[in-house]
Amino acid sequence: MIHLMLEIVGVWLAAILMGMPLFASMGLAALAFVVFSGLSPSIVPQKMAQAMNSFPLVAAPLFILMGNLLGAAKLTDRIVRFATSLVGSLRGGYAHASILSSMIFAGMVGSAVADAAGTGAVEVRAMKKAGYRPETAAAISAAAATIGPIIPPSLPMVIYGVSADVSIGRLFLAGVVPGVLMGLSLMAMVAIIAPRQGLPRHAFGGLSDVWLAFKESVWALMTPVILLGGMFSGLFTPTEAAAVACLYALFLGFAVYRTLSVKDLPAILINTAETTGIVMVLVMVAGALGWCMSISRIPQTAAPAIVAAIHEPLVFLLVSNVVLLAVGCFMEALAAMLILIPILVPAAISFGIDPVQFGLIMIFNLILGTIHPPIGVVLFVMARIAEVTFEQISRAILPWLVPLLIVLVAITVWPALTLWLPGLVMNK
Amino acid sequence: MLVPPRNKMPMLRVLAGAFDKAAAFVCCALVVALLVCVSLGALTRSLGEPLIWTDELSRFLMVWLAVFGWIVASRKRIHVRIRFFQDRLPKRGHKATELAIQSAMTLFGALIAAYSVGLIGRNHDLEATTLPISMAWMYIPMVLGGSITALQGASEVIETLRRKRLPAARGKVIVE
Repeated sequence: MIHLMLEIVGVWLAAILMGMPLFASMGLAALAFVVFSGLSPSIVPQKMAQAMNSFPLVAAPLFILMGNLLGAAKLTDRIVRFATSLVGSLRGGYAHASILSSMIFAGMVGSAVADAAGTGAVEVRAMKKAGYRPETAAAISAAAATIGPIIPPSLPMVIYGVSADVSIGRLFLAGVVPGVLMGLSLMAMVAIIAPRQGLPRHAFGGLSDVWLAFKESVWALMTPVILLGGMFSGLFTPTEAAAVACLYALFLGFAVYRTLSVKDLPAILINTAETTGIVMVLVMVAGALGWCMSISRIPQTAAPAIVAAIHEPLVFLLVSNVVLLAVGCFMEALAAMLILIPILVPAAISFGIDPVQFGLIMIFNLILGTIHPPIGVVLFVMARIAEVTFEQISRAILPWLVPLLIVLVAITVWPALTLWLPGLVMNK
Repeated sequence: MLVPPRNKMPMLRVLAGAFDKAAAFVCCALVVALLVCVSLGALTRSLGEPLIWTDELSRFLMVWLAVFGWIVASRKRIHVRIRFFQDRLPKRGHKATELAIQSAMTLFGALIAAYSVGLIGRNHDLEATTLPISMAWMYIPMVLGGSITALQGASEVIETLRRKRLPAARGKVIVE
């Protein structure tokens, strides 16, 4: 069976590279395996439907809905204004404010593209107006957007948690310290680059200005507090917290800021369903293919082989980083994650690596793929917003990868950076 | 696309448009139902009188929402695919690859629809744990998802054969 599966995986990878939609290529690979193994082909649609039959997974469409509601409610202007009032007076103040805004917005949305699309336009406009080169402004916003799926809530973490059978709450907590470190490292990079490029500072408006900006955005700033506070106080499960956060987003949009109207809702709901469909059909076929892999004993064979070949957990993590970074260059993060989880997570567990730490490392690596070519979806979004070419932003992003890679190395080498907070809050 | 050229078979075009509108309406209803169901579960649990059926209903709704989202994304041709290598092929190679891909999509959709019918048959007399409905409701949307994927693939095969130049790549990736 293992040889059959390996042959099918070979054809399947060829189909992916040829340009076949990922869900269909994965589904056909699963169907080919069950047919050639003499099993009932009904197993494939059954496993696909069963992959959705999971209450924790219900959090995914609700987090997508929350992001769409907050985006449509135009909260980003208020958040960017608040961040600018706090750190704008530093040299390169708008760049610092852009990073801080993304960190705050990351506590409301769970994806880098949503973060880039949500805060990017406001940040880039402000930076361009202050005299930043458009490609520099776009690169800073793109790099900051990668914090989106690391600071909770996080769509990739929900998918990883369900696929690798790891606590989503623990993953969310594990993302807090790395997310803050990403923000701080990017700010350190701004501090280094700002004097060399002559990036301007924004005049400090005084504490009254900070207070005014805070008052204007306080309701929006409460979103991550409600979401994460409810979850980690044990009041809600992650799925319920997502629903409560959606209701709060509706309350903000309709009652507090009055930036949403009933006629906006159909587009928001359809967009939510579309995104859910794109993501979940991959999870469905990954459920079927994962089952095929497990009965062909690929993970059970691959994990000991990897352990025997590598020996050291740290070497395994470094090799995983290189592989994941390379895969992230050519494949969307979610698809890559679904394909690699059944192979790499058992190997990581065999090495005694906590699957929570490994999940963070995996998501971090694959998210970096969104800000470098050739796939670089966040770069595409930011290039369009900043009206620069993809080549310009691809060059401008390079220095901003350095601080992010340093954080990646740090969370790889020091497990405490990811595991300390979940241990503290959830009494491991 | 299910939609043929404007001057030919206008009835199919109207039907496809009506289907898209209906699918969009169902998607909206499913998202709202899911939000209400999970919120109701959270509310009643916090009041100390939890409803036992909200978890199971939300899981059924999740299956339906995922499949209807899959259908809408298929109709809009926005599923995740890597076009990096295909876009570097010469025109004829690109067209041949696209035909092969869409034929495979048709096969996949048809097989999923066909085998899901069997699943419905085997599960129709099984009742859900907390809801008075058959477990077959879990598999009914799979027939729809498979059928639409097959129809979409077949119509794109026809369109690719008719067209001299392929449309520009489209995509929507917002999960990372």
